[in-house]
Amino acid sequence: MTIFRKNLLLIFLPVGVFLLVYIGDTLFYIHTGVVEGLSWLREILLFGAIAGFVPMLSSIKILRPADTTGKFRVLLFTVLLFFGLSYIRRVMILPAFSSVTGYAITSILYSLLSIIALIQIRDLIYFKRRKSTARVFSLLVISIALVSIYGGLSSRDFQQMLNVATIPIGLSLFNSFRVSWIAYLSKKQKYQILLVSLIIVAFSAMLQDLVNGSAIYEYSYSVEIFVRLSTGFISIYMAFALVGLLLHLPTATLFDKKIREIESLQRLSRSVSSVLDFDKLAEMISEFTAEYSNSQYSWLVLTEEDSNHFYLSSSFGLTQEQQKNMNFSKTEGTSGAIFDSKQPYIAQDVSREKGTRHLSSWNSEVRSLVGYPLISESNVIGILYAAKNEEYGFDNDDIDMLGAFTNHIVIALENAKLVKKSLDKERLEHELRLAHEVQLNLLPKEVPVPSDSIDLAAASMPAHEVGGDYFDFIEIDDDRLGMVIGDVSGKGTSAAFYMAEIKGMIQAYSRIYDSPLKILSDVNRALHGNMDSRSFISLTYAVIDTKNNIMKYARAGHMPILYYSKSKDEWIDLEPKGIGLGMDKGDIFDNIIEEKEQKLKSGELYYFFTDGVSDAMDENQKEFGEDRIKISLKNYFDFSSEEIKAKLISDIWNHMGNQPVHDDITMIIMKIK
Amino acid sequence: MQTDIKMNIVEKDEIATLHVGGYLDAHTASKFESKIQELIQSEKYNIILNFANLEYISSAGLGVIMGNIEDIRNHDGDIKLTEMSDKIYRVFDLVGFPSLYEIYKTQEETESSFGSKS
Repeated sequence: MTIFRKNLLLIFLPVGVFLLVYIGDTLFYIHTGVVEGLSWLREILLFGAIAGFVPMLSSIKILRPADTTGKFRVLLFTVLLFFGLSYIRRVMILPAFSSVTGYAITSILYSLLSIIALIQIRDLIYFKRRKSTARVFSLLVISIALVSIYGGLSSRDFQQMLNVATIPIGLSLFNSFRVSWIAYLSKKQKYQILLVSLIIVAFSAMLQDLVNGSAIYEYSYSVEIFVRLSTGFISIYMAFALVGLLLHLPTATLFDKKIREIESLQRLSRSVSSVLDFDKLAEMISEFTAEYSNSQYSWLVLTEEDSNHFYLSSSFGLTQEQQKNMNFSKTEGTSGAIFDSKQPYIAQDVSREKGTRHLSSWNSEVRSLVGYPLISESNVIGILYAAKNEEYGFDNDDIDMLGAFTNHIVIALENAKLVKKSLDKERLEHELRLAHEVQLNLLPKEVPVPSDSIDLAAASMPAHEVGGDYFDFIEIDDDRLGMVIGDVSGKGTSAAFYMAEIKGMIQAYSRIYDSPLKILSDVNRALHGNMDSRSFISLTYAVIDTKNNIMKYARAGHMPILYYSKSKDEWIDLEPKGIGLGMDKGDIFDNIIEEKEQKLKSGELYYFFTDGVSDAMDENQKEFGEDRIKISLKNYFDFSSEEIKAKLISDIWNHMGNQPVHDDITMIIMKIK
Repeated sequence: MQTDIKMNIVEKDEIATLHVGGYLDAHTASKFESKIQELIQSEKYNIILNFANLEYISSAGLGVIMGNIEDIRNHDGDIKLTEMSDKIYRVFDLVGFPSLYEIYKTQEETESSFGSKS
């Protein structure tokens, strides 16, 4: 509602003033000076009414086109309307136009047209608006207003008027230099506007004459001066614009090219930054580069880590043969020069320059070449090349554009690299999760109870998602229990697979053979050759005979079994000879490995473990050590195996403090009750 | 935990000695591996690993030696280990290295063992 009222007020206030003056004119002949002393009030009222139209006209959308061409269209219509009105007035010689009413209508219409034209010019001047721009234009408007009012009030002395008018005329000239909008026109627009402004200038030269003939002064002297000064300013501004346009025409093509380049750069960086597939992105970069620099060839080389060469990531216009013969050394040739200097390399005539003469060896067509370093965090991560079949094929603009382009490329490439890395990482994490699940399934869910006198407990804690430690219980028959503890060198998925392999083999062999030595010997022969040469498995296998209370065991390079006898209060490391599984194809292994037998008696403790337990380090890299294990085990001897395990683990934790778990921790505790 | 490895190569006649100090574990094994590879690349097949300053070795470190021994022995070379602490020797001993590799007390002994062979 308020907006509606405000708009109404905008229109009715000036219209009301005009009506008031009109009534005064017809009833009291104020304009003829009959009512003395009131003419100054009339002039001020009229001028105020004209000024009152400005906000209303400014708010009409159709009169405020956003583009320069639109503004000129409005200007053209305005000027033509001036002529249309005067044509009607002169040729038709309507009696109404010579009456008071006629003068009033003509005056008001001319004023409105002047204001509309001024608004267009103001918008043109404000194309590149600065503080001073608005100030200078406001000065002009104020001077026009003051001179108009002054003229309306003072005597109608032409010479004196002319003197005063030098101020707005001078300011008009000053404002007319503000034609920066010209620079932003396309070539086509420049020609269009040139034509329009030619028409406007031609007509506006006659505008002053037209105003003379319209006899606005019969109505109001200040309105006449306003219209004269406004149309004068329009003429001057148009003349300047015309000259400006003419001066800009020779560079119009170049400017168009520049604009096209900027546009293509924008389009390109948009599409480039939306492609995350690294290889596709590389393809796109060389294609775009060739297209926008009008080159026959383009190629992108990227750095290889720990290498003296770049590798060809993508190319455009090169044959397979040519691609094969290219050399991207970091130390020689153009690539070497760019890598060293981190500066673009430009060869306008390839055959004449020492650094590029070798190019003819793989592509004799190339005549000029540009190489741009792709720099990320002050490292050269690659080079973008463009090459043409003609000498001096690259002008400065091309080179600048490539330079701007490379900045976008670097960002896009780094982005794609990051995405690839995070995808790889995700895949790896997924694999590890799978392996972790596999591994968890490989470990026994519960600890068996082989007999009333044997108390078992076991624990395994991987340091990483997937560890290399392994333990197992195999219930061979009612009287025999197999126990395995081992450590696969290396971590991650391969360790999980070796573990699965070992578990299967031991489960199978333990049911065929009674001897731990024979089982380990067979497992070793099966494993060797099927394992990575860097991997080996240390493992101890023991069979408990619960009927005869005998343990038979063999050790394949694993930690000893720590044995404690309560009655003797002594520790013995059960460490028969043996080497790790998978280290030797069999002969040496078989020669070395021993099998031992141990009578199990009440009051004994057997501790199987992996080096993760003894190697658990504190913040000073001091290891927990086998001695500490023995002390703890002895201290807790009277507890159950399960309790001993918990207490020992808590001792290990305490030792490590805040240190991360370095290696897997696995143990089996066997207490003979 | 800051575990790091320190390595340097000393070449004498036909023998290259790689001094390894610090911690040779899963984190530093790749550095150790590339040093050995470096020697193989430059056709140095008579290699002594001097562990005088080695604080700790894990199975990953053993794996690196095992992974390269075949290649080196195929070139009539060998990897011999020397001057390790008792603690480090125990790790090698447990796994059975003494039956697969020559391990000597001193650097001189190791060097002369190469000489006697050729």
